Amino acid sequence: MNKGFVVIAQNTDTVNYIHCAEMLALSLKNVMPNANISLISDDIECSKYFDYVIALPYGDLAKDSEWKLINDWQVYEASPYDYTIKLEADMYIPVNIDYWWDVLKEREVVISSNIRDYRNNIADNNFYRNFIYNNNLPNVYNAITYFKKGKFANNFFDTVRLCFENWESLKSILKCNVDEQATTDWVYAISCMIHGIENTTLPNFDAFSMIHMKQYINDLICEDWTDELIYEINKNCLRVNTFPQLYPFHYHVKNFSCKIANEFT
Amino acid sequence: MKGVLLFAFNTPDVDYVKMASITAKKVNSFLDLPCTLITDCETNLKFDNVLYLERDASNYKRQKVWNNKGRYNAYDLSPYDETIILDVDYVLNSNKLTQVFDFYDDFCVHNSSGYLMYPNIEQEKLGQHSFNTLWATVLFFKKTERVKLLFDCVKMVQENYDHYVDLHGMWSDTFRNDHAFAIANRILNGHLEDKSNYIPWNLLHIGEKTYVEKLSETNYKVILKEDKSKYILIKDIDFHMLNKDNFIEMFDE
Repeated sequence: MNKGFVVIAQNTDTVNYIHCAEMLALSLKNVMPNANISLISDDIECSKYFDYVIALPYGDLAKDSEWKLINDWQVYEASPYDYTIKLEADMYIPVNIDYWWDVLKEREVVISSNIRDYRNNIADNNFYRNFIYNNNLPNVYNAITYFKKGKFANNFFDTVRLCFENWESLKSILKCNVDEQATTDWVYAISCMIHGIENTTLPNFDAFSMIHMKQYINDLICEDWTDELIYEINKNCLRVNTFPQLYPFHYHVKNFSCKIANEFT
Repeated sequence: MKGVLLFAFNTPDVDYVKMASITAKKVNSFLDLPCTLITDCETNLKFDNVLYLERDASNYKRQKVWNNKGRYNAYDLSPYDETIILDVDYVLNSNKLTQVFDFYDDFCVHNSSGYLMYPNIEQEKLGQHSFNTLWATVLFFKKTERVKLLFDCVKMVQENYDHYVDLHGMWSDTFRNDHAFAIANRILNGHLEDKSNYIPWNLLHIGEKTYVEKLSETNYKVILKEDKSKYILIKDIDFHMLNKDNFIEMFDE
């Protein structure tokens, strides 16, 4: 089975996403030494952390923008694997998730449909999800996306592309702010709706999930969780306020990648 | 051999040994088990067994000494193979606790509680960003290597309590056995939760905003202090009574 993880990462003026992706690869290989992981980027210098570094097939479609989300749909064509799990760059993998493949391999596309707080509990805070609820869309999180190469996934990512390209028209029929930006989560949610929630999510597989360290998901006072919570990180575990992190950890505060680097390099 | 341990260190305000004698009678009656008192004072009250332990008076609650340290000694002091540690203000009215002997592995404690008359009170956490506390009010243990480690860990937590207050962001630095056992139990289980260590029903608290009247041996009327028209009648239900004066007044014969 030709399977692997991919990360799309492009540096911006303010964030070194490729460094985040490298630390993600390090953490993944630490717990799953045989796992494949590839980087998809516009900066295709070889990196020792990845099996492949692959250029965006259609190049950077957001050259003048800090937001590179519009390139996301290129992941389908760029992935060198038949079975792919796309991860977001600013994540850390604290535990072996190899069993995910056994559950996912029979499906065409699965987008994660739940997130967790640092206590590993499924979070029910909707603070960041007004767009989803106002438009009665499935609550999906593209940061963890599985797809199998084939017609269905191809169509799905075509829809993602079309949604990005036609966002201004789409907005006119959606309940949202006039200046609502097209985010990957919104666009994936629309694509899931179009292609069938039952075909694109697997709600009972709630381990297909990540810990999300955004403020309100964790009932924090400040935006930067590293200012408020105590954490310990080493090659054997990541603990936040003594809770071992048992799912992919979306640290959100980008410079946390430097803390990972301190432990792993 | 099974039995019950009670810790009681008198203070100028509360006669804990007297409370223990009341609870010991109930242990004999409802659980049909022997009862050992652990204390530092001589007493003429009737217990199956009395063991002496020097008190550690270095703990304060509401600016008064609160002698609740040293419970980790229970492992070494207990004369029983299987022991229940009960707080002296736990009011037995049934033999329900004996069911725990049938299913627990080697250690068992309440992980959830409810307040009678206040059903919406949330489960208590150690701190805002921490996990739920356990309740050391009722605690079962067998003498095994694992449980020995647990009690050693409770001792370690007690000795380094300031650190754990900081780590868990506790609201008070007053030492609580509830918190010490919660922390030690997590550490022993690799910082994860092992639900097999939990008694599968709620510990029932009767708080200080309620007043209890004893109607008969196992019948009580629990009245809301702020509105005496609101009350509930309970029968054959064990509960943890936080108002010590009310406890002594109710059982004083």
